[in-house]
This record gives sequence, C-alpha cells and structure tokens, in this order.
Amino acid sequence: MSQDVVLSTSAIGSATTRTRLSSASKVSWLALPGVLFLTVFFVAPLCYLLALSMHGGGSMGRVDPQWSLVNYQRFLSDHYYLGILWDTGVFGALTALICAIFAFPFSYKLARMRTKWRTPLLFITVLPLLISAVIRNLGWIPILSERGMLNQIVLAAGLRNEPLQWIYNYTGALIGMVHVELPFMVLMLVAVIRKIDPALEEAAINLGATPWQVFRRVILPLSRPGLVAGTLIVFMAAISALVTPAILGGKRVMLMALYIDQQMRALLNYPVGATAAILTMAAALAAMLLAMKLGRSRT
Amino acid sequence: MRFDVVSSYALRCVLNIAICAVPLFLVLPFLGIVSASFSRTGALAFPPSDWTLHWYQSIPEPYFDALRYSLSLGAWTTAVVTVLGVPLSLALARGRLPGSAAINSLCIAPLGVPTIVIAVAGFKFAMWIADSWGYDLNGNSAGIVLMQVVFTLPLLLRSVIASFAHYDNTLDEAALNLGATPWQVFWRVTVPLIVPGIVAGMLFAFVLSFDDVVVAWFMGDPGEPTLPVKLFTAMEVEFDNAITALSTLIVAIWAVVLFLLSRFFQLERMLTRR
Repeated sequence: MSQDVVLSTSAIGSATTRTRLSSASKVSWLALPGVLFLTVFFVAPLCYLLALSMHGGGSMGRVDPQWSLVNYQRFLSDHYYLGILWDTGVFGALTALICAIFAFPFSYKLARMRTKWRTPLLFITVLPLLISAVIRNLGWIPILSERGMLNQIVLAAGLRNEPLQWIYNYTGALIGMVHVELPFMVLMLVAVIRKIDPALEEAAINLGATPWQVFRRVILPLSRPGLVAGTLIVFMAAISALVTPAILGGKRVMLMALYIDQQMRALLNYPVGATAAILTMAAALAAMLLAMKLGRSRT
Repeated sequence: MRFDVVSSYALRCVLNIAICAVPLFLVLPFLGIVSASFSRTGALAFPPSDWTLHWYQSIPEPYFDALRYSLSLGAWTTAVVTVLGVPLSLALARGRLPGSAAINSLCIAPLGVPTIVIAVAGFKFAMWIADSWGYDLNGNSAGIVLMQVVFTLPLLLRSVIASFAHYDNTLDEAALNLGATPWQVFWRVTVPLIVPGIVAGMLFAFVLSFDDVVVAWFMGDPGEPTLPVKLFTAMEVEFDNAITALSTLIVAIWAVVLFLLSRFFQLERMLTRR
C-alpha cells in the first residue's frame, strides 16, 4: 500500500527536475540509519533464530553443533506438536470469524451514521486499543468468573442450576481474544464501508433487490479488501498471542505462543522454541500471502 | 410473501441486536474492572456486596515503580523510533533509492512478523551477543527499547508516508521559485505539512511500547518489570485486588487522553489512513 504512495510521490516531472534530482539523492542517504537498524536488530536476529532451529538440542540450553532438520521433522510428524499447531490455527480462525461476523453490522451502522451517537461509539471502539491486553483480560474476571456477572444472570434467568465455567478454559481465551482484536476489525471495516457510495445501494433497491441481495451483491464485494485485511490482522495476532490465552485460558489451553514461552523460558530448550517461533512466523506469512491473493479487487 | 415479511423483520431484529451487542461487549470488561476496584469482595464476585475505597489506598509501591519504568521506556522507544523513522520515511517518500522496492518491503516487514517471534529472536540474539562480545542486552532497558523500536517503526513510517500521499509538490516548487533555499522549503513547507503524521506515528509507538508485554517479558529484568509484565505475573501468581484499582486509574487516564485527542484531531482519519 505504502509502496504506491512512494511511487506516486517520487514520480515528478517539472522545470526544477535538476535541483530535485540532486536533492533526491541527498535525501536518500537519510534511509541509511533506519535500514542499518532494521538489518541489525530485525533481520539478523531472525536469521539467527532460523539457524538455531536447524540444530538439534535439548533442555537446559543444550545445542548440538551440527546442522539438522530434526526439530522440523519432529514438529511435523508428532501428534502432540501437530495438535498444538492445529489448535492454534483453529483458535486464530475462530477469533477472526467471530470478529468478522460480529463486527460487520456494527461497522456498517457506524460508517453510515450521521447522528451525535457517532463520536461516542467511535470512542468506545478506540479506547480498548489504548489499554494493555493484560488490563482488559483482568476486566473479564469479574464478568466471567464462577460468581461473576454472567453466571449471576444465567442463574437468575433459570437457564442453569449451577454456574458455568466461562473462564480459565478455551471459551475464556476466545472471549478475551475477540475483545482484544475486535476494534481492529471494526476500524478496517468502517474505513472500506465509508467509501461505498450509498447511491449504489439505493440503485440496487430501486431495481428490486432484497436487502439480503444488496448485502450479498453490493456491500460484501465492495468491502472485501477491508474484510480480508481485518481478518488477516486478527488471525495473525490470535495465532501468536501469549497474554490472553495465558491469563484467560488458565493452564488448560496450549497454543503456539505459550509453547514457545515454555520452551524458551522454563525448559531452556532453545532449538525447539526457535522451531516453534519460525513455524508461527511461517503460518503468519502464509496467511498474508493468501490474504493478498483474496484481497485484490476484481476489477 | 407473508414469510418474506416475517423473515426480513426477524433479520432486522437480529441485526439490531448484533449492532447493540458490540459496544456493550467492548465496554463490559471496563465495567468489570471499575466495579471490582470499588468492591469489598474483590474481583471474583460480581454485584459488589459492599463498596470501599480500600483498594485505592493500598496499591503497593512497586506498582508505581513499574508504572514509572513503563513510562520512561515508552518515552525512549518513541524518541528512538522518531529519530530513525522520520528521516527514513522522508527518504522513502522523496528519495531515489537504489532497490527501493526491497527497502520498502524491509521497512514494513516487521508488521508481518508476530511480536512473539520478534521478541524471541531478540532474546536469543542478545544471548549470542553476550556470549560473543560480553555485552548483555537481556535484562536491560536498552534491549527492550531496541526490540520495541523494531515493531513500532513500520507504524510510524506508514503514518508519516501517508501524510505525503496528499502532499502537493507544487507547494515546494512555488517556494523554490519565490527564492527559498531547499533548507527553508523543508522547515517552512514540508515539516508543517507532515507533522500530524509524525505525531500520530509517535502516539502509536508510545501506546504499543507502554502496553507491550511480550518483548518486555522476554528481554526485561525479572527484578525490574514493566507495568504490564508486573500485572501479568500478578495475575498468574499472587492476585492482589489492588491491581483493579490501579487498572481503573490507567483506563481513566487513557479515556481522558483519548477525549482530548478526539477534540483536536479527527480520530478516524488518524487511525484508518494507511
């Protein structure tokens, strides 16, 4: 996206081209510190991690000197590891799906809204983004715990005779994760829906389309880039989340990030931790490539 | 026909419920924190049986130390990311870089790499540096700041470069034709036009650094945790209800900041232009 911006701003043709060219090449030097920084503190550590994952080893910091793919073989053949990978993928996909379905009607309403409610609703959407996930997870405890608000409502309504377990399990982790990621989805969707001309929807209705058809044939295709981008952001964040599954999942949920943390900090099994991290990054990359393919508009 | 009317009515109802549910859902945990912070029974039971200010008076001192530490790390990260990022975005937007496509990809790449991977890579890389050269970045503020800069840099770049998207280059030419030196053009024309982008980018960087758990968790000194890390361990190990009081204060402060920001900036434009 920003690439287009760069290309369009650097294509200049005018009388002052010569001064521009000389100043443009001077300006280029300004990139040096930033590029060096990223090379040393981003590219080099990732390469080091990749190299580390290609060594055998064990707990307590043992790393074998010879190269091998034994960690990857073990990860992609053992049921325990495949289970973690699968659970992580499902967790990410579920979070993204719930966010997309849940956020769409609200985002549409917010994008089309002209009343005084617009600012407070936007405020409510943005505020969670400023607050650390740890604090937001903490807030779910009084709501979801055994004698929390939700169970009081369930008991009072007579839906169940005993409190339900909402928290410290998969459900808790999922609720917390949706809450952490929902604002991103809403903002992405609002941005695209605002660009859809309401006249298109009116035209469809005048031509006899039902509301469902308007949604299916007009709104959904036009909002696809935002939907895909939002889904990607949420999926990538959810498959690599450490804090929310750790706090609201209790000890019952084992996802990639928790596994990486366990290997790296508790067992000191660095090669296996590195392998898990590289696989998480590969999954994020695969999701990104898929999204780029899907996100391209059909025109 | 009849069925059609009923089903479209039902659909409308479902949609309206979904629309109302989202803000409610977003607010719910904040309601939880605030009620728990005033409740004598603490976080585990919901309608508080009795109200108290006890938790606000008994926030342990180490939490304030952690808060100060987080604020200073946030300031450092913001400063470093601005010093590196603003020249870089100028070069990307204005310069003629050899291999500019590759450099562009490098600069947005950290957005595509999960934070935990950046943190783990930094953690292990720092261990390797310590083994090879004896300078340990782990357990050190510098290590946290450097890794936080890695994942906040792309956001600052995007924000600043986006402010070039609507930049009218004829303004520069007009100034040059009127006899301004290139340096004057930069300070008098370019800078005022991109300042909103820079400020937005700095704000993103500060918020991400202040809220970051993962990098500080891996690279930080366990004896001197940042606030989010301290809260994280507090919730995993010894739960003290005073943290709900502290969290309420933090939420309140951010709400005020956001309110003030929304008065001076168009929030939506700040957040959605990319």
